[in-house]
Amino acid sequence: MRAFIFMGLLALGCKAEPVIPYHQYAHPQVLRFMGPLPEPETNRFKQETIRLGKMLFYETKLSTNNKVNCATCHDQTKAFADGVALTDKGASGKRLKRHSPTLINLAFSPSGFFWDGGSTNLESQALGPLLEHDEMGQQMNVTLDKLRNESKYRKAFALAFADKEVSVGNLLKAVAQFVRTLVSFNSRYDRFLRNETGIALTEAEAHGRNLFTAKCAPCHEGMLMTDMDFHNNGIDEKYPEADMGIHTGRFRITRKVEDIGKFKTPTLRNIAVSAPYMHDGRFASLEAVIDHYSHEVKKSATLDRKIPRGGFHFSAAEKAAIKSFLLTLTDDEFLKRREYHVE
Amino acid sequence: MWNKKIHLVSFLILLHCAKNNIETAAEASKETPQQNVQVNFEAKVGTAVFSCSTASYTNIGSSNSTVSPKDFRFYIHDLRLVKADGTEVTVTLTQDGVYQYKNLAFMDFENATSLCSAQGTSGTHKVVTGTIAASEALAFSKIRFRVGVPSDLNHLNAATQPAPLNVTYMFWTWTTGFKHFVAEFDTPNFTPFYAHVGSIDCTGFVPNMTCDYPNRPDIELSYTYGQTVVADAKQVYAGMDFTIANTASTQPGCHSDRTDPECKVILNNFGLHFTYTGSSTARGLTAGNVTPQQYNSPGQTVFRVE
Repeated sequence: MRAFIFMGLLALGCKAEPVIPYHQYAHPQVLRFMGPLPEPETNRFKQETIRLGKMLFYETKLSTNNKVNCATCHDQTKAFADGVALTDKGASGKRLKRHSPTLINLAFSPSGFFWDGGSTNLESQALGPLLEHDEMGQQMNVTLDKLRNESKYRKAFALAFADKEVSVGNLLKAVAQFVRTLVSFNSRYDRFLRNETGIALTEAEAHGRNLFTAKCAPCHEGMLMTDMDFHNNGIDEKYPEADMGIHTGRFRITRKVEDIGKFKTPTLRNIAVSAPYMHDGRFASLEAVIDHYSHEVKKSATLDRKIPRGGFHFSAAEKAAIKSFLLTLTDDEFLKRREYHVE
Repeated sequence: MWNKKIHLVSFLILLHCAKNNIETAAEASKETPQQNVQVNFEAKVGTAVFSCSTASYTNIGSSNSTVSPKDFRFYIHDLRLVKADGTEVTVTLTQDGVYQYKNLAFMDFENATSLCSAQGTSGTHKVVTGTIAASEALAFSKIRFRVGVPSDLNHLNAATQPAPLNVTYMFWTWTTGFKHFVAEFDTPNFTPFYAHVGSIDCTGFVPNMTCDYPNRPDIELSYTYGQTVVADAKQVYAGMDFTIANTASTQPGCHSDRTDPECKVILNNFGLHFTYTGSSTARGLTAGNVTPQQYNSPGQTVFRVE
């Protein structure tokens, strides 16, 4: 009994930093595959910071019209995509030029955010949507004034950061921490890989997996199902420079000819719930995507060498098998995890 | 008991390190006595001092347009004073925790009031402070500095950098890196006309990023200690026709993009080598070979000394 009291007093006296319960965000078995959740040295996980990041992720006051938050375009039930090709739900009401990407396992992505890799870290990346006129469109000094006017944010920032400041840097760090906790490794396919009791792939799914491994995995590789690189997957013959070059892909950033038409490989995790597909959301269904890779691949100078010109020419049975495998990548726990949404 | 030993050892190590650091700094100071120096900067529009409360400036650009101020800020680094014999004396910047960090200084001429209220910050910074060896006479014939954020600091995480690298407006949101130089004025056809000079055409990822166009003007000016270095927005826009419509598919003004014809005028005024690659889709197909950009900006007209 005395030992308990002593321990209690010790805990009170030390006020130790709460240790992030890793398993709250990722299935314990993830450690087998991926190791600990990565975190930059300059923005270490802290429970209070993650909690603040979630508050901010769902805070409409970050937008100039007080109606748009991160979740407007990153809906948990859609794997943090938004279900439309090009959204017009930003502060200006203008339709965006690119499709909202999913937010899955970005903690494991060391660099290259946005479809063209224009941002090199999660913290800085958030400045894009926060400031962009057609997304949230609000200058940071206005955002900070709004947050400072609310005691809940003053308290939350004070708990989250040693300097207790409601500052841009702290805001970006908090949002990045929350986004890094969006971890999905518990699909039926994951459970199959972990040899969990009663989990098996059907014959079609297994066939689809073999096809996927041979044809798709060279880019959608590994446990992340993305090589985090940039590829021209043959969806167009030309990549016009309209709209300030954002349709040219990686070329917009590097201006290297060899990067024309290359876009970041998206993860295929939760692909069944994150339609539509491609950087501009042009394909409404998985069938349309598979049809593209089967026989609609267009020639251009930078078409990825892993993709044959003209496509892979899948049979109907192969297409069905690939789709059935892709459906095993849905992580229902991730899509419903309470820690990710606000009531 | 074991923990106590560890704590004691840690304390002794820390004490030793601290002592060494203090001694090292003290020895350096003892060896080379220092004197304080300062270099004054000013932002002007022609002969008029830049002010957020000045409603308009006239006769700007080749179109002799009337423009209104919105923003005027830039970074400099590697500040050097040059003696008559050509020897450079590097100014060690005072680390003030706000505007000066390492060899970088952030020059801020807007104060977030009046016409600059949308995106500015309340503080201003017009004087670079630092030290040089006390033995140096304050007799110099030139001043040299580079405009912008040095490459080793340019592509880091904007959220975790110390001041003055935490000024988020100075960080590009569409690509990684800082705007080295920002001048923004509302003009008849542009609200605003952006003059954003920064490193572009960058490949690789941190820490191995390289940029074909660093766009860091290397400035050399005749200078007598005590004079003021002037950055002149009228010269930034010299030759610019503000009556034209913005070039389709490009940002208003210049964002240092090789495909933006407005940049031909702006970057040329900084003396920067700039290859305009055309406005058609085909331009990308000829953009692979670039001439390495030289740092020196002999033809620059933006900076002068008064």
